[in-house]
Amino acid sequence: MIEIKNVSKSFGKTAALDNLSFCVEEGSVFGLVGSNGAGKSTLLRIIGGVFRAESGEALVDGENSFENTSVKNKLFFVPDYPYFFNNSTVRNLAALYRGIYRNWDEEYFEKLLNIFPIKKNDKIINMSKGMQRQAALILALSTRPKYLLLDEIFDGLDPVVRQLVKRLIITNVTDNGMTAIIASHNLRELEDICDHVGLLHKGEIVLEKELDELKLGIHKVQIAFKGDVDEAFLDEFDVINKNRQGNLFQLTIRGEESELMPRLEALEPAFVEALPLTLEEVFINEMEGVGYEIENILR
Amino acid sequence: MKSKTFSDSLKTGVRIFLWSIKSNRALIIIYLSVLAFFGILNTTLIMGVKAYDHPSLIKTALDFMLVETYLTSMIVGFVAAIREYSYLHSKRKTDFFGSLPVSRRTVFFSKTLAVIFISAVPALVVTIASSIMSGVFSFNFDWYIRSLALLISSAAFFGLLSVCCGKTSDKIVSFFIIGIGYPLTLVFLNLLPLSLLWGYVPEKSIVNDVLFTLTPFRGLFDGPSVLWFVFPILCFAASFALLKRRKAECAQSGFAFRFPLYISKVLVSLSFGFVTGFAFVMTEIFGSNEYLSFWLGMITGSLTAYVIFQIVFAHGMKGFFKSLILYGTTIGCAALLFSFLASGWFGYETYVPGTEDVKSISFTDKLDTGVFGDYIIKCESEDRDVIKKAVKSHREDVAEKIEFKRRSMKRNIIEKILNMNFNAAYLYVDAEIEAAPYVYSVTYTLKNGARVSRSYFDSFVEQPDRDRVFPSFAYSDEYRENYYPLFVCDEKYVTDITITDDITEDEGIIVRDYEKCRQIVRTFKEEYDKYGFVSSGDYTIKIDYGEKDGDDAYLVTQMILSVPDEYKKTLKLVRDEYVESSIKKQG
Repeated sequence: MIEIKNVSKSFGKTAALDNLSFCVEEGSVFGLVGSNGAGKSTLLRIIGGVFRAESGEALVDGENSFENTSVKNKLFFVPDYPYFFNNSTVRNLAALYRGIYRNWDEEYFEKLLNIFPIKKNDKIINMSKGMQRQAALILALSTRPKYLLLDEIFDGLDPVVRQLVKRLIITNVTDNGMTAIIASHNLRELEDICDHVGLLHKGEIVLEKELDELKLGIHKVQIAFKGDVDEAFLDEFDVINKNRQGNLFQLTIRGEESELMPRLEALEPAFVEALPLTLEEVFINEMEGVGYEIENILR
Repeated sequence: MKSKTFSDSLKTGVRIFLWSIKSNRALIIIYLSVLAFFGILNTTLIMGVKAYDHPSLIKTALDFMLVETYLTSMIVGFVAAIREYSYLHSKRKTDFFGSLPVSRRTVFFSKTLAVIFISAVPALVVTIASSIMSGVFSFNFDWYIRSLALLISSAAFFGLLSVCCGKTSDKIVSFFIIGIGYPLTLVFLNLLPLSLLWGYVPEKSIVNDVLFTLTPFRGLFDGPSVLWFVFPILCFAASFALLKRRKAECAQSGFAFRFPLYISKVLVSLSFGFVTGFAFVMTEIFGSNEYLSFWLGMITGSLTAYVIFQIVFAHGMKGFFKSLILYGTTIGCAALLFSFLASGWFGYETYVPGTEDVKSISFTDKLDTGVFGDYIIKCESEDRDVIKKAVKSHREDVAEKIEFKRRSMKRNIIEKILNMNFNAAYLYVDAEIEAAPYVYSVTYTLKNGARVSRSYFDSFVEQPDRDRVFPSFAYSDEYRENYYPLFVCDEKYVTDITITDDITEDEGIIVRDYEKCRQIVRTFKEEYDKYGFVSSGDYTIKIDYGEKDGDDAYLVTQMILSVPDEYKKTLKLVRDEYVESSIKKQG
């Protein structure tokens, strides 16, 4: 289990993480989403043992990962821009990892080499961005990590490889009990793979929930009335967003469908419909809720 | 289990080391190609020179080979160090190495070893191979140790700076500024009292020894010594201590630890300030007002250097005015030191110990010998009368001349620094062993064991008084027997004797026959034992002492002696030789 306990980190006067706390259960896929500069990559680097938290603790199986080689042996961090040596190929980089990571799985490495459409003996730095990410992921998975930390892993991957990556992650989670934390802006991909989501904004966690709970807990409601209607009825609901065109309301309301619908139907509308939000819509709504100036940005 | 076992760390360390070697393959290939080129060139050169059977030429060729080999190794070491330590300064490399299950210290140590290995081992192999191939196996171990010490010292220093700096450019600038600026500033700090304090003798001191031991490139200055390794060991220790505390996020964004920046700023201000300050004094830019000249130079040089340096490090003027606090403090400290020195360093200039406190006195002077040439005389006495006279003369002179003497920075610099045996590498003057004309030193050994030494470019005791104060020593038999090569040097070192007739004042004849030379020297000494030094005669002999190398002789010292009329046996030998040789010459 990964426990983030009151973790703070700042760069100069800028606070990147501010008293952050949450847990990532073993065998889960945790999606880390948030605005630009929210602190997602910083958090991954702290968990990965690259950075040290200024206060608080990021515990992996109860231990701090910073300068802790046995903890680091259990995890693998793939940054948003992975580093490769000038002359390294996937094969010779594997030789380095083989001697360093205790759980290196040569058979699985060979298998992954055959699965991914990547040239094994080409210099990695000459490869495309997507290919480099594939190389990084092959090496990462071959170390058989208990915890896999991925930063913008879907960036640059074609749709086929994206599916492959997602499938491999899920296989490792289900078969080997691996835990993955994926920081990404690609919410569509996260939606497919994550079971938990943490939303970061300005170094703070806005929400941390199971994805289903999150998605089913907020609904997009369209409700139309025949005559004039007083907006006071909205006070009875946890409305996050409201858009009114005459007697037609487009609302984002917090709550389960089974609980919302009877209450909405009790208002005797001409039409009512409640649809679950996509993760992207949840993200936008929640971010708006914490003062992210979406309107200004989109305008 | 919090960390891996030692054997695990060793294994991963070896992996990182080998990986570092592997990733520098191209550099090693270029390096070996250059060395191979030099090796072939040198082997050919040495084999060619060997045909002439000339040891000195072979030695020169070997030295040439060593210089070019080790110079190349230093350049390669520098490039390798930049590459290997760059993992601390590149964000992407920091992510890579930071997330590996290897401790920071293991990575750092492995990479440091790789830098030393890459630069040192090929040089050693090529040197030995070249020596074997050329058949002149004269491997200069001293050179190799010196080169290795420099490489280790540079790698350790570069490593420490890498830990402290966030950017490669900052690291390189700090490396050169501290590496050059530190010893330079030490020299200037030692020159300052020498130029300002009248009578100051910069003796060898433990403070200077310690400060000098901290010079990054100490191996450049003296012979093999364990002290060469003090600095690198300190650097390694500091690196190891700081590595764990280092913030990885400082890569590409400033300093992890700011002390190299502060040290660099202080050193750059002081060294440039001193250079310009002393230059202004020497060129008399403001006439006789030396203090004004010095300070104008000091401010001009230090401020200019500081501003440039600040802009380079801060990449602009950001924080410039705030940073001036450090500059002001540095210059303020220098000004305080200057004012203390210029005002006599709390009575140092005027202090002459009381006669009752002095156990013995020693006085070093140039012996004005005429035909005997320039020799340094050193008189020592425990005679109460001599001590009393010396102390009295010294006090009178100090009281009379101090105001005039102390305001002579330029003269002090020229007379003391340029003429004395000032060893810039060791930062002290060994005035008792060697002094130039017009420099006189006096040392009082006090009853409590302390020593008080003063040195003047004008004697504090004028010539007639000097003879009066030190009559029994300046021209004593005791002095002669202890300091004249005639008595000190073994006869086997006599290479030739030149005999001149002082009446005809001709160019003289040279006796090269070893037996004849030895006979003249031995006879002279026998008659000296019998008669002592008496009046001078018609013939003068110049005895050359040296070391023979085949047919060549390397002059070590000379002794010019007038043969007194009383030395009849010597006179006969000298005259016979002179006449015989003169006839041969004419014939």
